[in-house]
Amino acid sequence: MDPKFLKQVEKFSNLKTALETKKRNAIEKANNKLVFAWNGGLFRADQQTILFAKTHDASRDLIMLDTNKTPIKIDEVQDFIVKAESSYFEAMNEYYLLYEQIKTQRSVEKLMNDD
Amino acid sequence: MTNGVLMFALNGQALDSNKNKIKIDYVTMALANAKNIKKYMKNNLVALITDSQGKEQLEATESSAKYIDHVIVTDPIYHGKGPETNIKVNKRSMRIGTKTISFEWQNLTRPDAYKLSPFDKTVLLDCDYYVFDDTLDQLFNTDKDILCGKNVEEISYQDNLIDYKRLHHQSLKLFWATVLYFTKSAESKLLFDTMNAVKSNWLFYSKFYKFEGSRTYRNDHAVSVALHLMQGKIETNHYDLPFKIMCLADKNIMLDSKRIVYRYGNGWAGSGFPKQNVHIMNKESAMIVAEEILNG
Repeated sequence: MDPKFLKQVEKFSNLKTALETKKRNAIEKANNKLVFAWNGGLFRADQQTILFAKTHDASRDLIMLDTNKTPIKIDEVQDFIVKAESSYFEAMNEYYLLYEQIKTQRSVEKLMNDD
Repeated sequence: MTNGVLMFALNGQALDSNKNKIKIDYVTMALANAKNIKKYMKNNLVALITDSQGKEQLEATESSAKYIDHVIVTDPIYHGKGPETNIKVNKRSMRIGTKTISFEWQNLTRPDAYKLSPFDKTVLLDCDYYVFDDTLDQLFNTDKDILCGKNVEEISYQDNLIDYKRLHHQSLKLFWATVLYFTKSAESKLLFDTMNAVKSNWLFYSKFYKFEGSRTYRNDHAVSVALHLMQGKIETNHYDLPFKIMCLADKNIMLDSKRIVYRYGNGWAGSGFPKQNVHIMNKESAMIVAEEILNG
């Protein structure tokens, strides 16, 4: 096979690996930022948690399992939703901005030097 | 109610394969981390457990009083024959990028953290677990008495090591003492008493749980056994820290807090690293990042 072509493929593959590595670390950063404390428990502000809290039958007590499977009674449901949503949007906005920056980078050097 | 971060820093002297001496300066790493804790966290009181030499080093460093609120001096006495009591035997070998180093691992006093911590609620950190965000603040607002690092990711994503997940492939799940949250409570006291009991009977537990191959005393193993016993010898997620611990393997390199270089196939590759809490196991890189923080 043409060595020039192989070199081109290798260069592309290196760039994709570097992109993927930075992207995965950015996702993990966002995931860690989703965790918030509420009423003694720890919750992940994911879409399921937010949607369930928003759509549950208001005539029933809202009991949620936290990250350690501890049942926590959510008394102030509206405040819980506000807190969860703010954690979610903060983490996702930061990830979105980082992702937008990553996807335009076309060299390993640039990926390494940009924040 | 006082909340704070506790670290241990006992400096070591490593030798590389050419017998060159390399100082493993945990005190400087802890100082840099304390600076970051003050910068990024709200619960930012810092206590450092060190020896007399470490205290002298801190006193000679102008900025130390600004970042470290409590200096606790313990001069450990080493005796006996096993790695759990004698650092001459408790030798750790690790890679730092392309070199291999070995040093006496002064990690034997960690199970005393409960009685030494000046705080009601403590986050116990390895001093090479650098804080770059406020995520750990959430722990202080919970009713939990113990939470310990469980999920780990190596930031180059090149290996999927069973060593990161279990003490042995047929044995217990591995907790990482790198990040350990505890309160002053009967449950936490029991954890540290059990860690001390595991340490005192190291040979037995290392054979029983199949990690005798490691030949060193590891707090990760002691806390894993202790938490396993406390869970009733079953696996639950009762004590799991909800955060993923991001770590740089010792064979990989961090050029600074935002650039990594890692083994990729037969060569090396690099990438950027979005700034976040990170456990830098390559001691040379941990020192570089410490200098960057202190000079930044």
